[in-house]
Amino acid sequence: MTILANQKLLRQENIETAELDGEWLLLNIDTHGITKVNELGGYIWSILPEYPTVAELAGKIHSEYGVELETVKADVQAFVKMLLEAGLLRNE
Amino acid sequence: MTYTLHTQVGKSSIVFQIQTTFLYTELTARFRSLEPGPNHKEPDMKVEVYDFYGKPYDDGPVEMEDIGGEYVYTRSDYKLAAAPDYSSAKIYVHDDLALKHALINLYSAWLIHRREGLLIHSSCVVEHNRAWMFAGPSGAGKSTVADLSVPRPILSDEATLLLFEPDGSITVHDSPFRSEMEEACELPSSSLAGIHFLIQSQNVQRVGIRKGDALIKLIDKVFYWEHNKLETAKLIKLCKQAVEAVPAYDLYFQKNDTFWGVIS
Repeated sequence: MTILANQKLLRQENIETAELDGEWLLLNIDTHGITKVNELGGYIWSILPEYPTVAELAGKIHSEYGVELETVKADVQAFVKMLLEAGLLRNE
Repeated sequence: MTYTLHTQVGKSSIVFQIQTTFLYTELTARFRSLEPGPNHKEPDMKVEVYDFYGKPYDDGPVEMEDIGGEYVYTRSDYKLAAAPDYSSAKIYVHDDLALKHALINLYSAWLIHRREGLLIHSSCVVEHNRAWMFAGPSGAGKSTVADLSVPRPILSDEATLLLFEPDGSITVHDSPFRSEMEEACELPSSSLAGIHFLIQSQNVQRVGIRKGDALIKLIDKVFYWEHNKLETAKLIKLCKQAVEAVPAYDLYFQKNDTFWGVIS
């Protein structure tokens, strides 16, 4: 699955989140699936409503963490793909 | 109705209206009778209990429906019809097992609805005024742990009753929902010190686990039959509150009392 850099992403409804010990759990109330992500993954999840594309997310993380933009884009792309496959995100 | 029983579970007052002598005997064995004083308030929960329902439990699931503004839970051996806020309910049962299960179902739903606490499939034992919970899959040894821990006070051997205090701490109350150790605990309650998930092993050891993993394990142990998403979200938040408040461990244990050596 290729996600276009400017394709709008939406968080699925009915996902409860819990941040514990620097880990984030994303609990899907509809499917009872639980996804565990690290702190950066949790950060991306939390800012997704404001930065709803791979390009915007990568830009924000690049400016916050100072990591090289191309690397960030590839990582965000991979992470978003995982969230889409886990049913936690959907394309608009 | 033939009988009335006023009682208290945790901090909540319950009044039972009971149809038969058999059910009255079962309920008075589990719930202490507390006659209300002259200034008694409305009970938190009113429960009518009827006999002669259905057939013995057949390992089937609990079915749930929303019928005309009532939540109706049905299993082969009982039917529970509760108001949406669980403040009143009618229970129709086949036998004592059905009665216990229906009451666990009702009380757990009531606790979650009011965000007051959780009823967890586990045993709980007090040592030095600290309550330790032991959860695990069926056959893991929850009731064995309780049995091996005598003469320590046993707050539960099957369903542990946790109540959240305003300061964020958790109190474990004497559970009326018991499987074998039917005697009421000599302590009405004790502060929760920690949660153990039982794993049978040749080596006795206790290993701290991350709070995220504890949350996943704990959610699975709460008596809860999903009927709406808001209540499920509340359940998750309460479980999170619990794992944030106390440490959780995997407890590898043999079926003897040496495990207390790694706890205290």
